[in-house]
Formats: sequence, C-alpha cells, structure tokens
Amino acid sequence: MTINTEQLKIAVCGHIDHGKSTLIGRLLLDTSSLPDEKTNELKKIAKEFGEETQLAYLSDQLKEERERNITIETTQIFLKTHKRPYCLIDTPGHLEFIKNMLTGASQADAALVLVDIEEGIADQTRRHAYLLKFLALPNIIVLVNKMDLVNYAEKKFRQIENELRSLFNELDLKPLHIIPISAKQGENIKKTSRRMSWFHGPHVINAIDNIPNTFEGTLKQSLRLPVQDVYQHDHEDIIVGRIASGALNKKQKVFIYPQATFTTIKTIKVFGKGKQSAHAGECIGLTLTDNFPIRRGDILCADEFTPQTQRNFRSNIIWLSSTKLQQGQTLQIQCATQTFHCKVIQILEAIDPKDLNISKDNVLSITKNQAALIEFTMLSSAIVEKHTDIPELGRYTIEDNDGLLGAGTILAVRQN
Amino acid sequence: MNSLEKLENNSIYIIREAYSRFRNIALLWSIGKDSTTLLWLCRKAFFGKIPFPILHIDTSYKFQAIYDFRKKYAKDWNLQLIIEKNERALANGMNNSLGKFECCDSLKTQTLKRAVEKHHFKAIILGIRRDEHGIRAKERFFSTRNSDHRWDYGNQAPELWDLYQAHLEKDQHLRVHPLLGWREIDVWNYIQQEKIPVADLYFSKNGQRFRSIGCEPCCSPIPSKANSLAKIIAELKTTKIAERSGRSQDKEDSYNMQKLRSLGYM
Repeated sequence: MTINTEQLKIAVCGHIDHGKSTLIGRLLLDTSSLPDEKTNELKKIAKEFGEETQLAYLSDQLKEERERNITIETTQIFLKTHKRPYCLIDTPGHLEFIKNMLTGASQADAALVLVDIEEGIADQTRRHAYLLKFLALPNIIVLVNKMDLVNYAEKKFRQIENELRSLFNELDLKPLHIIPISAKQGENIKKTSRRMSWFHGPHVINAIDNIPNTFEGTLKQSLRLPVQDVYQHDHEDIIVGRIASGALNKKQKVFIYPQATFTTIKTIKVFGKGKQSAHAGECIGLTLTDNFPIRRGDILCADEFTPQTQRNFRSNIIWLSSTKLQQGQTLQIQCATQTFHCKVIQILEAIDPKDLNISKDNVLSITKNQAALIEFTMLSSAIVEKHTDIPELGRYTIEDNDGLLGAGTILAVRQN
Repeated sequence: MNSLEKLENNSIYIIREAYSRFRNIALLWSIGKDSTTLLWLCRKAFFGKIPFPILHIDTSYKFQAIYDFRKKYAKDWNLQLIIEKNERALANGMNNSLGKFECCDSLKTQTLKRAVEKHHFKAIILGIRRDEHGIRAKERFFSTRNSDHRWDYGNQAPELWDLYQAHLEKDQHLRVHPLLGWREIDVWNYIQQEKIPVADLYFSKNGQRFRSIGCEPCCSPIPSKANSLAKIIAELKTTKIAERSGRSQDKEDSYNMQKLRSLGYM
C-alpha cells in the first residue's frame, strides 16, 4: 500500500475527562482505522453488548495503554479518512504542561479542543488555548462534547459557544468551527446529527478534511531557501538546505540574500538522481553558475530583497527563562538557519499563565512561562516572514550561550 | 509530499543540522534495520560520501550474519568504519550470565562512553524511535548528555518546531535522533521503497524471524512466516507482539531500560 496524500498532524487538547480518549476511539472506529483483528473483536462486543459498550471498551483500552506507558509524554495515533491520513497527537494534561505541550503541539498542523458541555471552560481549556495562541496554529476546531447529557439542547450549546468565543476572542484566535458533538453516541462525528438539526455547521470528519494543508500554502509563496550548509564535493560547492516556500527549477535565476547578487542554478542534486525542479519541504543540494562565498544562514530568493538592517516585526513570544525579559533588551534569535539580533522596542501585552489575565499598560518586563506580544526591531540582516505565510521563516527561538530562553511566532513584518 | 517523503526529508534535515553545528560527529551503527536505514539516509544527505565516521560498538556477541553484513557494506559504501570493543571487560570474561544489565552497561554503554571521549565526538547520531519503548518516547531529536553520559530526562528543554538546541558545555555531547518520529512500519516501507539491504535474520526461516536484533545470547526470534518485505509489512499491520519482545535487557525488570538509558545506553 502506498500512501499518496500528505498526512495532517492534529493536536488533541482539552481538560481531563472532557472526552479525549472517547473522541479518539470514536474517530478510529468511524474511519475504520483499526486493524482487522481489532475490528472483529469490537464487532463481537457490539453484537453482544451494544454499540456504546464497544466504544467504551475501545477508549478504555486506549486509556489503559497510556497508563501502562506512563512514561510516554505525547501519544501519537494514526487514522485515515477518505481524504487523507492523520496523526493525532494526544497532548499531556499534567502540571509540566507548558514544556511538553509546546514540544508536542509545535509539530502539529491543527488542533482539536474538547470542551465538556456540562463543565464548560476549565483550567486546561484556557491553558491549551493560550498555548495554541502562542504556537499560532492556524486551524483550531472546538468540539463541545457530551451533548447527550444535556439532551442535545441548543440553548445550553449556544451559551457555552458564546463563552468560548469570548475566550478565543480575548486571545485573538478564531476557531474554524465550534461543533456540538457526542463522541460517545457518535453524533456529528461522521454524519450530520439528526438530534441537533438546529446546528448547521460541519460534522467532525468534514471539518478536519477541509482543513487547508499548510504545505499547499507555502508552495504558493515566493521561493525562500535558507542555506543550511555548503559541502565541497569533487572540487565543487554543493549548497544544501530545505526549501521553506515556493519552488525552484534548474537554470532559474535566484537572488542571494544578504549578498544582494543574482546567480543561476546549475544543477539540483538529490543522491542517486538528477532533478529538474524542487518545491517547498524538499531537502536538496544545488550547484550555482557563479562561485560566490555562500554561508549557512544566507537565503536564496526568487525576487529581489533590499538588504536592510532596520525592520520591525510584531510577534507573540513565550518566555522560558528564569531571568526576566525587559523592554529595551537585545536578544539573539535563531530563525530557520539564520542567527541575528533584535531589540525589544515595546511589550504591548503580557499574559499571565495562571489566570490568563492580559496586562496591556506599561508592561516593562515579563517572567518565566509568561507569553507576550512584542514589537521588535532587527539589528542585523535577516529575512523574517509572517508565520502564517511561511512558517519556517516566521517562527524562532531566543537563545544565549547557555541555551533556550524563549520562542516566538511572527504576526506582522514592517519595513522602516 | 507523501508521509514517507516527509519523514525522509525531516531526517535528512536533522542529519545535516547535526553536521552543520559540529563537524566532529559519528553515526552509531548497530547494523540492525533502523541504524542501517539511518546510514542510508546519511548517504542521501551527503550525496553518497558520508563525511564522518561510522561507529560500531562491538560486544563480540553479535550474530555472524551481522559481522558479514558489516564487512560487505563497509566496503561497498566506502564507510569510515570505527570498531570499538571493551577489550578489558571481555578479557575478564564479561557475558550475560553475569547479569544482563551489567553486560549491556559494560560492553555497550562503557564502550560508547570511551569511544566518544577518545575521538572527541561532539554529537552521536542514533537510530532510536519513539514507538520502540516507553522511555524512548521521552526523547528529543537533539538530546544533551553530560560528561558521565547521563540523561536528565525529567529536566529537558522543550524542543520547538525544527529549531534544535545544540548548546554544549565542556565535556557534554549530543545524541541526535533523526528517526525518532518513524514507526516500525515506516522503516519497513522505506526499506522496501529504497531497496535498502538488511540482514537475513529479519526474514522468516523455519517459522521464525528476528524482529529486533542485538547480541545473539540476548535475542530470541518471534514465530513468523514473513519471509519477504511485503510479508513483514503485512504482519506488522496485525501483530500484537511488541517489537522488542525478543530483547531480554528490556524485560529483566521494568526499570532496566530506564536505568540503562539514564546511564548513557542508546
């Protein structure tokens, strides 16, 4: 079997007992993503004890698997719809959530946030929402679960929906959908629920299948190839890197930043075969017609870039160091293969991780695990982009000689 | 881009990233399917000429088929092969009857430690995967080890996107894990797609095959009729047997793997 479409990674978030494993079990069952043996076993259970028991059995098994492997931080579950394969990343719910959720969810393309209709927004819902804001995941779908417990009442759903909208609004996030579901009863999972005919949005499978592929987005952008390294092979320089956006062809003219010169691609190299063209996501090697001194951190572009050292960008950051971040401070940034310096012009807002209160006035510093919205000015040359346009050039880590201090995602870039 | 292409490109990116940060690195080759797949990816990353040594920690208890495989491909692929053994422990008769933990620690972990010190390697590339073992699921792609090779798994920095941390203090080194996100079935699908050679021990003979290969005295085969790549892939889709079920060092007590790894085991 060959899988010919790209897999989408989805982080599954939500408060404990809001139904993460039941939902995962339901999705596995309804998309027939289980091995035959398991499906037969479940069919037998369904026949003897009813469909509901079958799901409880499956989600208990998932839970048990996780408990047995208590050392696993994030569990990955694979499923496939008619449209494409998925990898669900179950994000951890324990106290050390920030480090581990960031590590797990930063690999995701989208997120499902589960909320219990009876309990409503809980601590973990807020924290996960706040981390999703920071990660700038473009595709968030909120699932209001356990609708069966409130008899599928629209009024109750609308109330929670409003609360959710204001939580996400506060964080400047726009969920693609807020869907009322019952994971247990299979309502609004793979077909439109008749019990909730008042709801006109998509069901879950429909909603995830329509999540745009971020990869397709980067393909449409202009070429950016951050140089990772240069190898000398048979007296020839091979420039290697992964294409961050767009595509390139043999014999194409490219612009090298920050040298500000044009050159032409002589050959595209991949071990074992020649190549005429390559696109975003591919790790390739290139030889060029001119012999320029090219280094890690340089960027090959399709169009001309005026090298500037003074550009501002606005960014969400999360601060992970125990020393404070202060206004006016200079930071060293790693963005794709670039290393550059920038200065904190203004801390526009800071979010407290405990109560999620946002301070906007006169914030002069932030402390460990706080997130903030910051205006930066660049002190050395680099190309940065809006995270939603070209993710690889729109996300960065802040480091010093001892290690990681924080990380950020770029919301807007401005030329001075 | 399909899932295998995505995994391949991510792994190549990680391998090149390790080499770019520190030229003085090595690939740890156990000659099993995972590290051979990793070796193949390194050949791809460097257009057929891997610019760093390939390190084999030889316990002297490997299968003959593994030694034959090593000899053939070290030559065919023109590898800079370094073989390291704990000669002193072997001369003193170290073997698994003296304790599996002790034997692994002495012949593998201590030998690896000494090799890293001797060759001043700043990073070691290894073929471990998250789905192999619970404790390996905690790993990062770039993972720091102190001078004792200890792994402080409770206190790791977050690893965001593909921006890997490569800050080392004096005497520290990095373990780099380009296959961490691969599943066992991905490895076999890739072996099939790329026609990567693997040891015959993986294929069924007389109703048995090895699913995971280590030292001969500590490895047992699983019952299986899978005598081809296609059959192995089909078998993995339905099996309920854990991949490392035939590896005795994992099982002696449930904390063995955790203990071994925290002390520098691969």
